[in-house]
Amino acid sequence: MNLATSYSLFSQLKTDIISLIYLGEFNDSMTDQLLSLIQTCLINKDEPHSGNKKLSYLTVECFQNIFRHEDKPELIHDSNNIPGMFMARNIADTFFITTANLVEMNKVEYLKEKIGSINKLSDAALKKLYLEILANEKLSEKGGAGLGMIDMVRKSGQKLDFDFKKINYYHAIFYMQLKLKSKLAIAKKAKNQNIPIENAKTIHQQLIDNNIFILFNGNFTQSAVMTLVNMIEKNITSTTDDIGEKKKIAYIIIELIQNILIHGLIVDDTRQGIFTMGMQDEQYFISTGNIISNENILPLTEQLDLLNNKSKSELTKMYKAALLKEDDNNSKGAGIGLIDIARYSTSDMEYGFKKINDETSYYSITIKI
Amino acid sequence: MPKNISIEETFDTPQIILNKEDGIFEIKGKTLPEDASIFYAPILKWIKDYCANPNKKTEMSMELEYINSSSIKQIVNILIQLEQLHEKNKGVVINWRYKKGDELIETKGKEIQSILDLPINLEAL
Repeated sequence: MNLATSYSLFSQLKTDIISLIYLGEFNDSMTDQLLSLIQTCLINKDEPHSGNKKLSYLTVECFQNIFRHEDKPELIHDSNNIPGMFMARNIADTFFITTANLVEMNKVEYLKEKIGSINKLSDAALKKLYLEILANEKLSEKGGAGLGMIDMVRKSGQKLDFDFKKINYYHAIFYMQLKLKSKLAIAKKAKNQNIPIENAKTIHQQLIDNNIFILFNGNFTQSAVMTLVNMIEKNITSTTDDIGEKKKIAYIIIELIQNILIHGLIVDDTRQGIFTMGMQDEQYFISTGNIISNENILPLTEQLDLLNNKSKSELTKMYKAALLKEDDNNSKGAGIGLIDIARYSTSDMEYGFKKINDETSYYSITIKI
Repeated sequence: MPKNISIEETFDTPQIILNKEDGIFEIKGKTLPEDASIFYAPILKWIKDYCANPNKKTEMSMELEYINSSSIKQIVNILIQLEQLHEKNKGVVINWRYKKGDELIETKGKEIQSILDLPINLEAL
C-alpha cells in the first residue's frame, strides 16, 4: 500500500478513539472473535455493563445482517466481485457501525421504503410494529421479518442512515450505518457526533482498491495486540492451515504494532497508529503507520536501507550478533525486531515519510510475506 | 538464595516456575510484554543468584507460543548465565519445546542453539 493511501486512511480516521474495519467473507464463526475485539478495544472500560451489552447486541445484529441478506451474484467477475464490509468506530465514545453488502437492484426500492418508514416512526409506534411482526410469525425467507432493523432503531434511539451504490444492472452495494451513543457519552452530555455515510463509501472503495481486508486504527494498547492477532489468525485459517505461516504473520504483527507503542509520538494526548493487512499477488502484506519525530527520519532511513540491502544470511548473522550483544539500557530489544522482520519479509521493506510540520512526520512501513 | 519464583500466565506474559529444591525451571506460554527487560529483570537476577549456588544438574524447559523480539533477547540473557554455569559444572540442559508445525518457535530454538555452547534439545509437541 502506498504512502498516500496510508496517510489518507490515517487522516480520515484521526478523530477516532478506535476504528475496526473488516472486508471479505463473513460467516457465523467470526462472531465470537469480532465481539471479543469490540469488547477489548472498542468499548471504554468505564462503560457500564448495560451500554456494553447494547453495543454487543447491535454489533452482532449488523454483522449478521451482512451475510444473511447479501445477494451474491451467480457469476462472479471483476465488476461485481465486491467484498462486504463491517466497520465499527468509536468517536468520543459514540459508536458508529457501518455495513456494506451487495443486494440485487430489484430490492433497492423496497429497502429504501422500509428503512424510510421505520425511521419515521415514534418510539411507541416502533414498539407496536415490532410486537405485531413478532406475533404474526411471518418470517421472510431469510428469517428476521424486518425485526432486525426495527430493533436497531429502537435500541440505538437513532435513525438508520443508509445509501446505495449501483455497480451494474443487477447489483448495488447497500450501505447501512447505525449510531449508538454510549452511556458514558450520554452521562457526560458529550457533543453530538455525526459521520456522513459518504465517508464509509469512500473508505470501502479505498480498501477494495488496495486489496486490504482488515484495518485497525486508533490509540493502540498492549491488550489490543493479542486480540488482533487472534482475529487475524481466525481469518487466515480459511486460506492456510499452515501453523508456521500463521505464526510468522503473528510475529510480524506483534513486532510492528509494538514498534508503534514504543516509538510512536503522542500528539494531542493520543498515540494514534494504523494497521492494515491485505493480499496482493498471492502474498500477504502488513502495513503500519504512525507519527514520529522528524529527528528519527534519518536514523530510520539508514537502518531500513541497510537491512534492505542485506542478504538473508547476512541478516541472520546480524540477528545472532544482536542477540549476544551486551544490553544497553535504553534499547528495548536493540533493533532486533526490525532485523527479524527484514528476515521474514519476502521483498524489500517499503517505507515512506510524509512531513506534517517542522517537528513531526507520518511514517508508514509495509512488509510482504 | 532468594525465594522460589512462581508467576502465573497472563495474556502477554508466560508462566514461570523457578524452584531450586524441586529442580523445576520452566517458562511456558506467551511472552510479549512491551518492555521485556522489566518483566524479566527479577527472573534474570534469580538465575544469576542460582548460578552462584546451583544444583548439580539443571534442567530448564521453555515452551513458548508467542514471542516478541524483546523477550527473545531476555531469554538469551538468561541462557547466557546458564551457559556460563554449564562451562563450570557441565550439568545444564535446556528443553526447547514447540507445537509441531510451529516453524517460528522451532527456528528461534535452533538459532539460539547455534549461538550458545549449551545443550539445547528441540522437542516438537
